Amino acid sequence: MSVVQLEDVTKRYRNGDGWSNALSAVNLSVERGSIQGIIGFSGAGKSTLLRCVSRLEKPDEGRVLIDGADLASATGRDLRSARRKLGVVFQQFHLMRSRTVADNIALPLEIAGERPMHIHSRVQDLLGYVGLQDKQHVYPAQLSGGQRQRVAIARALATKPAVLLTDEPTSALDPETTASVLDLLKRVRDELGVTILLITHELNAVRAICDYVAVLDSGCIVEQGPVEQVFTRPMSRATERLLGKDLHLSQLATHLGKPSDHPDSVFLEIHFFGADATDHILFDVARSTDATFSILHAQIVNLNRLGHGSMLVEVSGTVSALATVQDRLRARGANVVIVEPWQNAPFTVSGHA
Amino acid sequence: MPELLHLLIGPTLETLEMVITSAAVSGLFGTVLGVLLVVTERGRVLSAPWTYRVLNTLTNIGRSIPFIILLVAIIPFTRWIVGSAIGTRAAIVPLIVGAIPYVGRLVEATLREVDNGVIEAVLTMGATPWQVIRKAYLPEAVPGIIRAMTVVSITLVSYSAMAGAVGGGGLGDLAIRYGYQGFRTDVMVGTVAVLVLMIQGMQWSGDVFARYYQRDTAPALSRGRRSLSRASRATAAFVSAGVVLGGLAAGVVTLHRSAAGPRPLRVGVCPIPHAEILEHLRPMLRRQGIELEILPFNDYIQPNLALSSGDLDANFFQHVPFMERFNHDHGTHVVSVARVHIEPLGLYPGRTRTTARLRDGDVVAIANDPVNSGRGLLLLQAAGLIQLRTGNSINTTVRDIVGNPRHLKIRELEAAQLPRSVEDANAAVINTNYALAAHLDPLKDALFVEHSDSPYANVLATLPSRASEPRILALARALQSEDDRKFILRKYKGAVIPAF
Repeated sequence: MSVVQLEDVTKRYRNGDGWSNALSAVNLSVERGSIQGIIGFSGAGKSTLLRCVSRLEKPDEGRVLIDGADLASATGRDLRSARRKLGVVFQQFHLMRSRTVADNIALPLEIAGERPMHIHSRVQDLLGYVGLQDKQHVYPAQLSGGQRQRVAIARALATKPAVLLTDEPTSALDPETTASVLDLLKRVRDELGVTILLITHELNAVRAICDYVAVLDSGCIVEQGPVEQVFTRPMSRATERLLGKDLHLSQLATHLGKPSDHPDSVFLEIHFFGADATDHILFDVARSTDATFSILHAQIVNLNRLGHGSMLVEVSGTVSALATVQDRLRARGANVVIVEPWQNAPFTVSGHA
Repeated sequence: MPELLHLLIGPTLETLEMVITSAAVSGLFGTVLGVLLVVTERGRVLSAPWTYRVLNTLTNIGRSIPFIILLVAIIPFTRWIVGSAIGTRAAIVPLIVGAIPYVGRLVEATLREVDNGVIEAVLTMGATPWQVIRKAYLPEAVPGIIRAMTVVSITLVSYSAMAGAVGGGGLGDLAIRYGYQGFRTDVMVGTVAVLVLMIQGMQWSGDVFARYYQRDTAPALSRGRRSLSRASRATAAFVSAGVVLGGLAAGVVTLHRSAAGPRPLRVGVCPIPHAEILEHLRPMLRRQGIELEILPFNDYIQPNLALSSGDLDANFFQHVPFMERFNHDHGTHVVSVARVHIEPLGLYPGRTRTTARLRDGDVVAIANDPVNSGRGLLLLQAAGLIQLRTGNSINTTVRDIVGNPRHLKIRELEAAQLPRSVEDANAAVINTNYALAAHLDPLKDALFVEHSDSPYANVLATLPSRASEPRILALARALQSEDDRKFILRKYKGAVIPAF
């Protein structure tokens, strides 16, 4: 049964004389106890989606069902009680600087009108859960970014929401802190059974903890499904761009410039998944054709417990040999993309025109 | 020195009472206004565009009225609130009304600085608009509100200097009356010293508290800075407590004064010689069971208005021509009860030392109120300097000058400013009370003095309905007593002449 259900969520903004859609009929359902990633480039509509789901803005059309209650149409008292089913964690934490750590966590409980005794014991539990008991009396300004985000997560969990909506929760953090915050989110799901919506532009965050992912592009969900499926068999250009950009392969190719000596050489970006990632596919293919290979870059990353191998290879040979190489790689389950560096200007690293 | 301290204590307490009370009350109402100016704006938690527009306009109107005008304009309101438009507590009401829009704007600016993300975070917790204000906007803005209130309190100190206009007293009034008009440099310096200390104290306490509530101590610095701030916090708390207690004490003293016994007879006066004459008569009247409350004024308008409205029982500062003119212009019915003394008007030397040396284009300063202006022109005519079309009529203006052989430039100034003008004018016509306050001797210093048969005898005045009240009649008898005649002759040596 799905605990979050977005139905035809649409949001328009005035744009000069006309209107433009920031979100166009977004549909998404999230199963209870799962971690759902929503990924996209900046400008894809992530912030608008966050603001519509958290009801900081009212969608123009559609329904936002959180644990059965429609946030999009609720108002007044109904809206306020429906909101307690959804905890929100922000990129910039948004803690109150005038309150200590413990008092920040207590805030949603005070707002819900809980009794002081109950608030105290709940706050102590949460402090222990996020490992900040020794910091309970300090002010947020005295905490590191990772500690602040832990406080924000504890605060979002205070009213025992069914769903945690997290907006770029790790984008303001360094890589090490990012890992610990992602671990905490995973524990929240595993141990407390809270469903998590993770809105981000960081592929690594999705890879690390998400079960499902939806790819947002120009206000539409262009692709969704289990993470390993979406990331290994991308069906949309947007997903490919996200994956490519993340691996920096096209940027690398751009740095290297047009394949040199051989007129018929190309750059190939090759992705292997699962057991294939560690198999000797490239060697087999090289031996079966008369094309020559030079490996420019290769790596294996962990994708939701599965291997994901990727490499940038310069292949030289006759036109038919190049076609054969691609066919055979695909036949072995690899994802192959021809990289044309001189056409990849959008992905150049800043500082290199 | 003891005399100076004695002079300073009362006005210091009055200033503290005015500033603390008005800061506290305007702080409360101004904060409410500031909050409304933020939350009713379109798109905010209590979005109400029309309310916002109305509040915004009212705030701008409030901010644009000069304080001295506000002080006079809201006199009916002041009377309704504190029962009188005269005195320290009456000065507090316009201070509050004037400060509320100011506080409102400052608080508004502070609240707008609160991170909107924090407000949205609190909204996602299911907070009501009231909870958003109480749990997010206000606590997050505390350091800013403390800074705003520091600025407001200091501004109120300088505004309270204008309280003298309604007999409110305070340090500013003391500085004007004794320091400026009375040429008492020691009082001026003492007043400024007290004001500097007061303002330093306010700014410093404000800074310490604001820093304490800022809560942004960096971890590495926390220990050193926190212990420092704890020490200064204690001192700041001590100083603030002292200031607040002082203000409360002043308030209690005022209340006590007004609560004890039957209401004293309130008489509005000019500081010299009228206040001095009444002070001399105080023991005599006390023996008759009459307690005097002597309220000095800096201008010639308020004492009659305050009398007409019942805030004063009588006044003693004007002569009959002025009173009649005033009644005519303001529709009041002030009547004379007793002629007391004549203060002969004098022409005093400025840059030019003798009348004979006044030449073409020289500047002669006279008073600018209708009666004293005409009286001054008559004096200049009597001295042979000008010719007036209206002869000896008291309703004369500078437009009635028909002969001015030396082409003198007549400049009209506020009467109280005339002693100061002698440094810039060639000569000045000065009322005796202001001349005496400035240590000018009408007998020795004046170039030319009004004749003793002047129609300008100063009178005790009241309303017709009260003219036969026993206490007023007793005061009139005292003013015309032999004892008073002796006092006037001895004290002023002919510069003030008994007129009874």
